[in-house]
Amino acid sequence: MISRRNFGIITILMLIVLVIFQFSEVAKNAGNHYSVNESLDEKYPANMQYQAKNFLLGTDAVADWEKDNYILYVGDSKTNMGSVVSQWVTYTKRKMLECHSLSDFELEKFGRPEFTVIDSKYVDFEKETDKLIEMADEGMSIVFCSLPDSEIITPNEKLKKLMGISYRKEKSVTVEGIKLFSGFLFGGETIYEPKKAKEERRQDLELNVPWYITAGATKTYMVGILDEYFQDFKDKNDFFPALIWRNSYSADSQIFCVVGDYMETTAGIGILASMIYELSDYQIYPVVNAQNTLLISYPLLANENDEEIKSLYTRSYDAFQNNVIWSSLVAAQEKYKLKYTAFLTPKYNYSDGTEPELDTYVPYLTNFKEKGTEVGYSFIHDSSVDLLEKVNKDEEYLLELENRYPSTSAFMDLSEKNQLLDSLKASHTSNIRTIACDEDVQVPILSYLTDDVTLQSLTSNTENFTYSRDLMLKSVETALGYDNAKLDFTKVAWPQNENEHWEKIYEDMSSSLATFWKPFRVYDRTTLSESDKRVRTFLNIESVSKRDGDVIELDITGRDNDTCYFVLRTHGYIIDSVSDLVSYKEIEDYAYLLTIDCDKVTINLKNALNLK
Amino acid sequence: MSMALITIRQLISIFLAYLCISVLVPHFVLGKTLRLRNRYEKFLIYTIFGNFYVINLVYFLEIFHISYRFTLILLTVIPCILIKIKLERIPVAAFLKEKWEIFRRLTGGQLGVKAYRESRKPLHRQWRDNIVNHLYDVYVTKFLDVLAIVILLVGLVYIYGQDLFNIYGYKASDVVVHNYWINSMMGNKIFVTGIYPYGFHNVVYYLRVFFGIDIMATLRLFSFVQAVWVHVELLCFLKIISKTRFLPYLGAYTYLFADFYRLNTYSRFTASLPQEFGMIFILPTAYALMSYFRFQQREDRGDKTGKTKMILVAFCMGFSLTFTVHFYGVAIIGLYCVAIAIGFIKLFVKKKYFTRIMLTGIISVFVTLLPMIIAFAGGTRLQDSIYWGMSVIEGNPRENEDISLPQTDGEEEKDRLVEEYGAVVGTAVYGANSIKNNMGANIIENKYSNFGYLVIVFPFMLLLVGGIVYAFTKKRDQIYASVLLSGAVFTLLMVFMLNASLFHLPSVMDMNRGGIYYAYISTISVVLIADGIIYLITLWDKRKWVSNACSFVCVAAIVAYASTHGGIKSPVKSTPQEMNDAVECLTNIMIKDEPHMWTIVSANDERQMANDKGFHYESIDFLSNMENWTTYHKVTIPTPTVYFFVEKTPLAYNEIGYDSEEMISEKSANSILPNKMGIETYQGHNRLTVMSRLYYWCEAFMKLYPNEMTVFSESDNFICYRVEQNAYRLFNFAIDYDYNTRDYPETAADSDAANG
Repeated sequence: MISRRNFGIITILMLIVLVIFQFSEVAKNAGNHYSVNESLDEKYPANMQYQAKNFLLGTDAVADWEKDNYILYVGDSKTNMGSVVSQWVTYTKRKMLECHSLSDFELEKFGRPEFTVIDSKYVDFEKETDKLIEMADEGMSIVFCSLPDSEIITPNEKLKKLMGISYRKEKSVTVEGIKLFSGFLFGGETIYEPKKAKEERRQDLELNVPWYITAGATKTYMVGILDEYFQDFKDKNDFFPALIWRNSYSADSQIFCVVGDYMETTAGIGILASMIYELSDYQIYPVVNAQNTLLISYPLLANENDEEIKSLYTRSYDAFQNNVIWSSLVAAQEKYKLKYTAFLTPKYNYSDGTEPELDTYVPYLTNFKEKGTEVGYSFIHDSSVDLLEKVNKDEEYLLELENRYPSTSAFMDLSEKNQLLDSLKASHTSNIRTIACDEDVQVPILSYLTDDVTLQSLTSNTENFTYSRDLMLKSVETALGYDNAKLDFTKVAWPQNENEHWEKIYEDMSSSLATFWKPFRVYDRTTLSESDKRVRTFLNIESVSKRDGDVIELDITGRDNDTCYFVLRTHGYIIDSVSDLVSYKEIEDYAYLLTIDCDKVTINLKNALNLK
Repeated sequence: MSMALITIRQLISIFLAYLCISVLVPHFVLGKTLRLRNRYEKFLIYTIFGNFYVINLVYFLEIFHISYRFTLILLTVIPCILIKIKLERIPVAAFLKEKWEIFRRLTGGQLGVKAYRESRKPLHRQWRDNIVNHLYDVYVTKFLDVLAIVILLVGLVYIYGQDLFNIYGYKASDVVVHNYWINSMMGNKIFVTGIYPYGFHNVVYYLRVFFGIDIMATLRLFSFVQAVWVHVELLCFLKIISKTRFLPYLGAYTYLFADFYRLNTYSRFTASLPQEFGMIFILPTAYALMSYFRFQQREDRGDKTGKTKMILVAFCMGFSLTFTVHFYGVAIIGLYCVAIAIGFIKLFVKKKYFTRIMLTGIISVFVTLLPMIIAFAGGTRLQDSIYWGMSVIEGNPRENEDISLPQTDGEEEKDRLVEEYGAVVGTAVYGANSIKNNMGANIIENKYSNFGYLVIVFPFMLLLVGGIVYAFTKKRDQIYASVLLSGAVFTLLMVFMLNASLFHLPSVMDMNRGGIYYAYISTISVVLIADGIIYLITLWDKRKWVSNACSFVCVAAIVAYASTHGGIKSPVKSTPQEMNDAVECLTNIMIKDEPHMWTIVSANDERQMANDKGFHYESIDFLSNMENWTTYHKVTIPTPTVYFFVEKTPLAYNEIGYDSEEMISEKSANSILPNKMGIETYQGHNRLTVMSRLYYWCEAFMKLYPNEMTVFSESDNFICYRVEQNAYRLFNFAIDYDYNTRDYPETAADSDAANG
């Protein structure tokens, strides 16, 4: 028999335990203001209208130049390569002179450019080689974004000397892989050569290349790998086909050559940024410092494609999203320190007759709030409706909800851009001020879609990550300190093949995050709205720097009391000290990410390599 | 880090490491066995045992090509423990059982940690008391001795230490050869250029592999450690054989500070060389032999505390060490052994003594020669200097004899003296004159040349004092008399050996080298004379107060007189073999850069200095490989970092009479590259041309690669460039730097004419 006293003690103890456990849950829920979006109250940077004018999508903002302080582009800015060059010029706040042929350029008239970028399709090498040599002799540095056919180069000794080509070994060779050396793009040395069968799907780089042997006074940044071709040949590395190199034509003139189409993708932005760094003793340039992970069409409130989902995952899509996908995403978030922006959609397929499960809305939001996930709105839909119809239908659904989250970010298909303005008038879209969209080299990565809505294009995706995507990732991280990666759940809800099953997508995502994103963990993880603020500041600021000995002074305008971020790259120097209100982190050797809260910055460098 | 700080750090490391192998580890092994010996005797014995073990261990492992850090550590630690167990008769099983029992009780909860600590407290107290008593004994009761030793050490720093901070590189041209031999040992290739006594090399190698001290650092700084050991051993030896307390310090101070002898008798202490390292083992060996007579005599009388066998082993090892480090050392210790045999003749002729000593000597020689015999049997030839040494002993004249011969009037003078003093006295006077002149010209400092007769007088004085002691003291002090007589005979033999050419005998050792030993040994004679005299006049003083006071006054008076009358040496200054800036750069590169990831392009000793951690490319090869440049020329260096050492004012490298301070210039660069063999390429104007060319190549390359090539270090006379390159895509260093595309006249004269 238990005594009354003991019974009383046991009861009290059980009550205490109950209260302790329940209290934490109650407190957590009470403190979870799931329907509040903190980004809503964020102020826009000043001069927003001004920057919107300069960076508005489709505006010809680059056909401007200042004598002796511009980039000469020989080519057409409407082409992919031109778009890439224009973007880089825009982001670095440089001016660009566009010439459609080399003969349009007159040195006496325009002055000596900082840098000349040439699309070889716009040069007649047979006739204009002498002019190129004259430009080089004048001390102009030139980037050949693509090379003419090797049949044009081979007999042209002057051109070979200019480009630093000793001889052409083969007209075309199929390389086994591609090797990017460290110190050029951020991310270190990378070998794009699949070693295992499952890696072979990643190889999408152009492997058929002309085989040039570079001459003395050249520095090579990327080569094709021919290990099997050379077998045990001792100096084989020196004979691998050069893909990106620099020829020191003279002390003042450096000639860069790019073999392949790398400059026609966003990889070109980082390559140009790295080339200009190679030309100077230091480079300091603004970056966004934002790494977004976008969950497209997640969560989907309606149990669409229910039959197939149940057959695959033995539960409804709603339960699958809540119990399986979210748990996996949280695990990845913890492991890789991610920040998600989940683009919620009531429905994707508006023809199947299912209704959104609105009672799941609040649990999703509560979960997101706990993990710092931003809730955006997905404009993505099937072809049964147009954009406005989707928005209107979604508005009807969402109006039924008592507490709605005012989304400030959205994801859309850029082909429906013409309906966008009307779409933003609905009650659940009126707060949207930044929109993410699929990538397109003709669309700037960062721009303004309307006067007050920014556009942030995707730069990568976590599934089906290929080598070319990695090159682009490295490039954009180098030039902009920015990444906008997506994970598309439309495929999960409507799988077309085995590779679109969640377990495959998640495995792919995990391995990609662990491998390809690892070098860039120095950058901040952000939601799309947080990134939006940084993008606006990035586009708004202009800077001028000068170096006197080991001291760099940087003047920033347009910051408007916002925090801005710069990348500083030095050759063999480390930061000794920085002025107040500036902090820094090392990205890799001799590359630093600066966080700046003032307009005038002084950076003291110290030579890390030299004795005295 | 500044070179001074690096030098101090490295010097301390080397000193501690050598102290470890020469004193601390032997003390751990033999400490209890030798507990009845005083600290001076222990120091000498430890030095013999420690060095002998290390040198022969390295020989053993190298000959069998299994010398690695692991094997060295294994065969150092385990035998040390086993020998200690054997000598101290430690009951290992009982010891382990006891420890296991304690561990079992501690882990089983039968014994608490507190209780265990309490049980250890008496032992800790005893240790503490021992340490306190020891410190009291050393620093309070022997305060004057401690002070005197500190003065000696400070003096060593003053005389020999300063040079380490003035000249960073090697101090003798042949050090780099030894460096090469030691470098080869890193690949288990001993006797790389032939069989040679490798004692010194084995020790440096051991310091490198066991302690991780760079070979270059050791060869730069070990000279000072050697000098410390040589001087401290002199003090220890005198402390053991003298009867007075303070006169030994006079001996050490005289040898260190007095400027009686010429620079050539001590200047080699600035360089890390085998001969000077071998000097470390002369006095310990002599001590061991003399102690054997003492201990054996005691043992014969029934006293078993002398450890006769151990001292014979020490003698065997010591004799072997002098042999295995440098053959000159064995000549000296051989003479000293003969002198000791004569001094102790009464004991030596006894069968037991004679047999044991001779047997020990034979074993010693066998032990020394064994590794060399094995190598010789394996087909390795003798090193060239051995052939040279043997030819000298056979009586062949030396090449490049640079010692001045005494100017005598020869036979006429001899005839005059014979006529004046008679045949015997006249010949003796003539001989004394010749010796005085010879020694005065080569060993004694000019200002003291009038005291040259002391060279002959001192041994006879010592002989006299020894004889008196032998004749008038009690039997127990006859060992002391024998020591004095041995010293006298040894000094006489040394004089005879150094002046052998005067007697038309083959000269085993030239005066330059022999003078170093003579200065060392004659100091002992001087101290023994004074010690013997004080001993004789204070025989009545049983408590030795008077003799100690006399010795103290004697030391104080002489030190005071010498210091006030300009009898003190100046700090030794050596001739640079390499620019300080170059050594500073190289040292920092070796410390900071990842091993084997860099190459130095230079014209100096870096080839061997850097071999341990990096690579080297000769400047002349580098430039020659891009001469008459075309686009097809290719010069690559397969390391991520490449350094270029350029002397703006080229060093006068090993050139007597060349002291040009001409700087590199366009004019010098505008010459054909020297096409000479060996070091000639880097001498005189050839060096100027190479340095000028290299400088203009560096400047041209830096213009093309401003971010990749930077100035690593620059001073008025030297500049070091650094190139960072991708090891998987090497730079082609062959560029057109203008001077390599010109047509040059074939000869230097034509070139001068072309330059106007």
